[in-house]
Amino acid sequence: MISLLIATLTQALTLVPLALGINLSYTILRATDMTIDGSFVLGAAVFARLVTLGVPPLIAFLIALLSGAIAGAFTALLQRGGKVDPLLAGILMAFILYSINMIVMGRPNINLLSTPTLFSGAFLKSNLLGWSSIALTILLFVMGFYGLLRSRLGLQLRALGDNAELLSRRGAPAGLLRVLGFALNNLLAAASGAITAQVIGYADIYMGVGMTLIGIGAIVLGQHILLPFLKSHYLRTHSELVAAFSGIVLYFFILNSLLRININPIYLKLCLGVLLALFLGMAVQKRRTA
Amino acid sequence: MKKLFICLFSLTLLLVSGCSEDKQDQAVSSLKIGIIIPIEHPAMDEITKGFEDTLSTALKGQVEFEVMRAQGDINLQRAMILQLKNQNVALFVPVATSTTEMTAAMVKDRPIVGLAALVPEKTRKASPLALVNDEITPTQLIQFIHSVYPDKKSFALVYSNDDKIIPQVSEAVLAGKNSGITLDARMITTLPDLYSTASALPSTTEGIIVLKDLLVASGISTLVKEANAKHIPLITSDDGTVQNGASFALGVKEYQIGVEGAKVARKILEDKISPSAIPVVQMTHLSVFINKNALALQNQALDNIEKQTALYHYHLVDVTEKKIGSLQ
Repeated sequence: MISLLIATLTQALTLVPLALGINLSYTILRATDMTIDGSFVLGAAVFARLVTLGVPPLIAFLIALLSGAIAGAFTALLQRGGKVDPLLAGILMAFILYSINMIVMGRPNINLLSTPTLFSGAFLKSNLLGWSSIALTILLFVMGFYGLLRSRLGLQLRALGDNAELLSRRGAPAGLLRVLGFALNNLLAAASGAITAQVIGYADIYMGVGMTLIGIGAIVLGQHILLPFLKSHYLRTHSELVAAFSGIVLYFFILNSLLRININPIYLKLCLGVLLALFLGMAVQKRRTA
Repeated sequence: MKKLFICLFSLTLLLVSGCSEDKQDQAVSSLKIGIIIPIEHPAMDEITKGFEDTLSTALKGQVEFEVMRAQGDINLQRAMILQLKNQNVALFVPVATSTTEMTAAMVKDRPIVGLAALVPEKTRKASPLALVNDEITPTQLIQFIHSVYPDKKSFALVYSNDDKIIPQVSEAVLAGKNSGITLDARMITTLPDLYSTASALPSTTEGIIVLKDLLVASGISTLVKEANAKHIPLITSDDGTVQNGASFALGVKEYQIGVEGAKVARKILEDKISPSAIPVVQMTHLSVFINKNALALQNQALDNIEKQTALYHYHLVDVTEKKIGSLQ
């Protein structure tokens, strides 16, 4: 049981920033941002390329985050002030990012096994130290994200998702807020990509496939597991974060559990999909009754 | 109702995972070997079969295999490697380069034998990693093609953006230039691109070349149709594509890659040799795979292929009987 929990936590940990990012776009901005599939890879690609060129890992990591933010900002700009559907803009940006990622990497796969990274020194000393340093980094992201959501900017982003027109009428810069929101969401996805690349030992052009769907699935799962335990019919900021975290943990818990009972991987996605669909159905039912 | 469902679901998962844990604790006396396959592909199955057959014959009753297929999902692949790690497998056998890289990043305390994989030597030496490299140099392929078709000067080279393929394309183009052949290199990024690429080949193309490329091999039927229609040879680098309608290929038998991997595994498990001390195994026994039906459909003669195969001391393998007739 302990090994199952460790496997679950170590896998979920690297995707926590991604879950936070998707939480921002899906729950707060009320948009399905497919850019994430590309910006996840972009973060990994930029980080891998820069560290293999000899750039210090911390600087490479920060540039990787920035690259994700720029990609997100472009997605927001593609929406032309809310006139173009965010889903379509995200898909277009994901297409563009595929080429950009190839250009950045110069090849489809960059090996990081013998390259110093942010966490390689800690992992050399012990696994515990390595994972602790990753957990600490993730915690910084969570705290920063929580602080932002509790700030005036966070409230404005929430208002943008709820009613962008009303927000504009009240004189708030909706366009700028949209750019900031999507930039932040993709910055978090890029952070996840860069951290994942360091854990798995390489950056690969295909490593982002399906990440958005996994993230949305995990968040929906987390939210609707958490809701019955709350008195209110909606999630507050802190419970949103708990839902994102518990959703991604539960996703990997189910994945690892199904693997352990020797479910043929061919049926694995079917089982996962059916479970997620069940939770999604319950979510719709809950909203209807509310 | 909802709470009850969630509680029951969580309880079931906990029980299930607990039970599986108990099962794992019942240690078996034989050595467990974990094989990780990144995607479903007949070539991967052949490699695995070669490995399992050879090692189970050599170490009869002493080994058991746990084969895991990641279905092209890196999260799933990561979970599988972690699960094998927890099952205390004695040896990890990842197939393909990216799977080997991930295993090497996650497993530091047990030996790894990467099949059909190549990682930088510095990395390999720093990990408990032995490798069997399945690649033949593109220069060998181009030289052989030039020997078979000394009069043909213009070929199309269709390739994907796979990490192993891109450097080989540059080498192939250079080798072509040295042999007086112009290679029109055309990259695809997804399988649907293959149809447009094949349809857009110029009429002056005298043959189509494919390197050992999983993505292009998956859509080989598209290129077979084009080659059959234009009566030009489709030349590949593995037996599977020849079985599916290419004229001929210069390559290695996938099964043999597994056999060589098993030999390396035996050195590690029996002779206790450190994996990083074992040099990268290169596949030296090359074969020319031919499909007589495809040669006929593409209007190509067999005589010179046979003659050149003998001259190069390659092994001629006729895979015509395994052909897929529907491609005609």
